Amino acid sequence: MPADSPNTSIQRFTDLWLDNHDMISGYVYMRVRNFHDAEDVIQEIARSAAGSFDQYDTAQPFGPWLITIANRRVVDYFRKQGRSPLALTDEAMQDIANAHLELSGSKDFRFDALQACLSTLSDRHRHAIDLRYSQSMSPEQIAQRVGASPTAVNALIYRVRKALANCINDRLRKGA
Amino acid sequence: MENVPDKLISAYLEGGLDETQAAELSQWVQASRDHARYLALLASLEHGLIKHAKMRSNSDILTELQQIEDRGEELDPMVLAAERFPAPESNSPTRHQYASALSYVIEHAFTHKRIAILATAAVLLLGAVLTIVLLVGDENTPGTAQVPDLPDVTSPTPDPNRVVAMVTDQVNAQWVIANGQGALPDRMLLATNQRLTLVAGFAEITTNRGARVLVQAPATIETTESDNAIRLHRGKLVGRCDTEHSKGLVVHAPGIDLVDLGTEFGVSADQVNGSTVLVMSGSVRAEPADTSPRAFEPVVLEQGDARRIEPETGELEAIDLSEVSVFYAQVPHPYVKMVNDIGSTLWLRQNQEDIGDRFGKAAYSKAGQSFGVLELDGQGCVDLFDALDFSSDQAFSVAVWIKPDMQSDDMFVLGRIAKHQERGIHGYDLYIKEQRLRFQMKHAFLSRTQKDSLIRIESPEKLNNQAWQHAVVTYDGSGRAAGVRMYLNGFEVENRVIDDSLSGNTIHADTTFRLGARGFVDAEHLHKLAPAHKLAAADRGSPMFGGIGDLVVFDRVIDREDIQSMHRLSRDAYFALNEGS
Repeated sequence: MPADSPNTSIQRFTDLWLDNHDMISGYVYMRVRNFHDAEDVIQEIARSAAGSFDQYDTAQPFGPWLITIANRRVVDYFRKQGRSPLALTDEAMQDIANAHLELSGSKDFRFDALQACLSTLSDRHRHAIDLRYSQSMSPEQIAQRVGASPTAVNALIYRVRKALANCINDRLRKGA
Repeated sequence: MENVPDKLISAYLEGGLDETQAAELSQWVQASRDHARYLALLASLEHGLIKHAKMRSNSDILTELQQIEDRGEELDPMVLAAERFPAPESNSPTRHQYASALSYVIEHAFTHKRIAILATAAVLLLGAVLTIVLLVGDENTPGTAQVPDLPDVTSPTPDPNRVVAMVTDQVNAQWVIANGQGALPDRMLLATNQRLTLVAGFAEITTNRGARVLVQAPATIETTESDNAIRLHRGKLVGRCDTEHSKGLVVHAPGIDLVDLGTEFGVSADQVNGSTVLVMSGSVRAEPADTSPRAFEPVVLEQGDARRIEPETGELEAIDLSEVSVFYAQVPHPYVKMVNDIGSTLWLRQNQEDIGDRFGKAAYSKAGQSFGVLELDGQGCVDLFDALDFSSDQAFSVAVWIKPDMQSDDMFVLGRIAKHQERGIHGYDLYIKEQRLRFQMKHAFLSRTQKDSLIRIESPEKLNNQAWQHAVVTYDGSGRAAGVRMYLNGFEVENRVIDDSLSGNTIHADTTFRLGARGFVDAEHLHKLAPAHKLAAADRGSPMFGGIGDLVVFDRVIDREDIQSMHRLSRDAYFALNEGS
């Protein structure tokens, strides 16, 4: 088979990258735990992956190859930050990486599911999510605004997350 | 799922897990594939919620912009963006780049406009000179060049296998495309009939034929079947053809098709007020769009011509230059960037608030400057993190504007240099010693039992006090002083070699890149530093008095032409008011 032209190769990378973007974003976010730092790391991953795409074995799936690069860039990120990553064990992180890869097959449906599940929230829960994510308020700031304790806000937000996760999981299982 | 450790997971998601809890959570994750999947889903959910919130905000902006257009109101979209994304507190834990990027654009809208006008004026002047040269030296003048046929642009179906253009430069660009919103990778390829909306920032798109199109947000563009055409649905762009091969760039705007004949022109597409075009240099052929009634005859517009398509009648009318939108003639120059040998930006900090950690009294001035200048009064510095770590066998160049206030005989301008008790001092820096500019790359030993290894050069003349000067140092990676060149205000100076003994010792510096002082000055930040950085931090080191602006670092030797062009461009656009003052 003739070798790809540079244009074809870059286009193929772009397609693969876009297919895996949500998966790698979720995974990196999970490790970095800061949305905007995670976005920077993801850009670094894109740069690294594009630069070494000629070394990617097209017979193998793209996701695990990308995860390997992501792991290196996350290590770089923490090194530059001068702090240690959250201390889940390597084995646990590997299991979580595999789980992200499993979930990646359903990315479009997952986002649709999120949209649908958000609409099922009660007004109170939707308000909590709005404060936390749309207005980027920390649990402490929310607590201050609504006159509750940060622990209670944490518990409420966690309950909403859990409800959403269960709702999405149900939809994924039914849709699968 | 049963036995879910809710508290652990909640603590993990809020970033408050201690080591014991992390070990417990790891065990739980490893106990079952479902557990790992559950945690992955929760983390993805969190990411999705943030993304969802952002997409909703952008969608709100676009909807509101469309409503404003429909009503025919004039409202600066930047103001709208400012209302949506108020600038966060600089120390807010929730501040994010997107809001910062937008607020930066808003804050600097007026100064940007000034630059754009200056740049446009410069381009017009340059265009006039070029036209004269062409008229004198070339029979094939722009006015008489053959007009290429317009391509067929009727197919609406994207063909992912056919690439017609590439995104070649971006500054704070945020896009909305068919499958999502956010940043696009650098050098992203664009297929035929691909529609993109730029909601923030600037982007340069280069067609397959090499024509360049600078798109200014907010704008919606679309590629066509042609390898040298762009459709502008709304917003502004500047098209430019620098080479013979790229001539013939076609911009399809509402009611009008424009063919670039080797020139530069700006197009603004506005559904209410109609499309406008301004020829900045050379000439452009204007034709009625295929979809419009043939309301005017094709015409060649010359440099300085401004026209508008009357949206009701489709007629082409001459307008005064004062009625024309402000176009950016180039991607706004970032404050600090590093570019590689093919011109791609490797590393970029444009937003002043995001440029680095400021310590002590290091203030960015906005008055009278285009992109802000770092003003230092000997009590502050900026830390640019782990950037620009070069080795002695690696070529690089540093270009920077400086305005020294000679209050001290030893002032550090910039560099990456560390001091370590065992390994000594190693790194590179640019500094001012007794009013002369010096550059050094060194590995010196504190014990004095080993011979220092360094290259050190200095300018033959003293720098001017209290005046802006453009300084460039290039290094070819040879390890010799002869491989270092210094340029001041666009011209090479015969530098004086003080030391030329750099041996194989590394100049890699286990520290950060800094502006304005070799060491940190704010003791309260010391505890956050890794041990290796603390010694360097304790050494405050030769603080700078004066201004530093427009730093660009290259990972190659830049040539005289690059340097003179960089000096001229930034002098004309940014520093003219203050140069020599």
